[in-house]
Amino acid sequence: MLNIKVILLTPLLALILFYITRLRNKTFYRLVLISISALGALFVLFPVIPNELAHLVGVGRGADLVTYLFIVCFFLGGVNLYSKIRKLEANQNELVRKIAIEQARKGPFKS
Amino acid sequence: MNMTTVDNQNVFVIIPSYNEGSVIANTLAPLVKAGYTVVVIDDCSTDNTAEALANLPVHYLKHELNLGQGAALQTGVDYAYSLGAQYLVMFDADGQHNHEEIANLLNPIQIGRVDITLGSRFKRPEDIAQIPPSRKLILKGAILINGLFTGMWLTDAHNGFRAMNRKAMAQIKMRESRMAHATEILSLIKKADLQYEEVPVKIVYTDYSKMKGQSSLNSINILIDLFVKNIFGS
Repeated sequence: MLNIKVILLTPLLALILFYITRLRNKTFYRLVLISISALGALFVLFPVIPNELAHLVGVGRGADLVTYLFIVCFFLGGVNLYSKIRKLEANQNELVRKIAIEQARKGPFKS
Repeated sequence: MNMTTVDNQNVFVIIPSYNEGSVIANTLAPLVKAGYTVVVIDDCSTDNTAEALANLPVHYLKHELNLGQGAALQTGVDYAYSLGAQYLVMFDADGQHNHEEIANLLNPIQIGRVDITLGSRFKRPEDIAQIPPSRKLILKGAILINGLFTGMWLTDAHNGFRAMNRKAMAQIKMRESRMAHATEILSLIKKADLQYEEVPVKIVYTDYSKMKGQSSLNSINILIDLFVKNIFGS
C-alpha cells in the first residue's frame, strides 16, 4: 500500500542524499539543509512530535506549525537569494566595465 | 575671475549614453571643438550611437550589457583616471548641459578651493524659472531624500553636471549602477571628506530631454534602491 509516509519520505531522503553528495564547499548550508530535511523525515515518521511541539508554543496542530515555519523559511530563502543575485550582478557589472575599458577605442573611425 | 590656465586636453568630459544616437553628435561637437578629451560610455545602446560618433575624435567605450547610468559613469571615471586625467567633468548626452559652463564648474577646483563641484539649477532665479513645475516638485523631494540619507543639504539633486579633480576621482567608487548613484556620490563625498561646492548651472529642458528624462514614477525606484543599499550594504 502506498501510504502518505512513503510519498513524503521518498523525496525527503532523496534531498538528504543530494545534500550529502553536493555542496561540499558550503559546510554551513549543507548542515542546515540536511538538518531541515531530516527534521521533515522525522515529522513524517512520528507526527506526534510536531503536534507536541505545536502545543508547546501555543499552536493548535502540528500541521499548522509546519505551515508557519515553512512560510518564514520561504521568505528568508527569498531574501538570501536576492542578496546573492545582487552580488552576482555586482560581479557581472565589474566584468562588463572592465571589458569596456580594455576595448576602448579612440575615434575618428574612417571606414 | 581667478582662472588658472589649464590645457583642456587634461579635462576629461565623460558622457554616459544610452540610445542618444539622434542627438549625441550635436552634444559632442562643441566639446571636441573646445579641445576637451571626450569619453563616451555607450551603455549597450540599441540605436545608431556608435555610427553617430564614428567621425569624431572621441574615446568610445561600450558596455556589452546595459548596466545603468551609475555604472557607465563609474566606467568613465576609472578610464579617465587610468589615462592620467587631471580633471573630470560628468556631462549629459541629451544636450541638457551647456558646455560653456564647464569652465565655471572647474574654476573652484582649479584654484584649489574644492575637490568636486556639483551643478545646481536652484542657485539663480533665472535657472529656477526654467524648471517645469512638476519637475520642481520631484526635485524638492529628491533634495529632501538626499539630505536624509547623507546629511548633506544641497540646493539641487540628480543634477548630472559635476566636475572633480584626481583626488576625488580616486575616491568615487559608485556601486549603485542605476539612478541611486546620484545620492551615493554624495555619501562618497562625505565619507572621503572631499571639499565640495555647488555651482549654478542652467539646464535646458528641451522636449527631447523631457521625454528622455526620468519619469516621476522612477523616483520611487530610486528610493527603493537606496533602502536596499542601506539594508544589504552592497
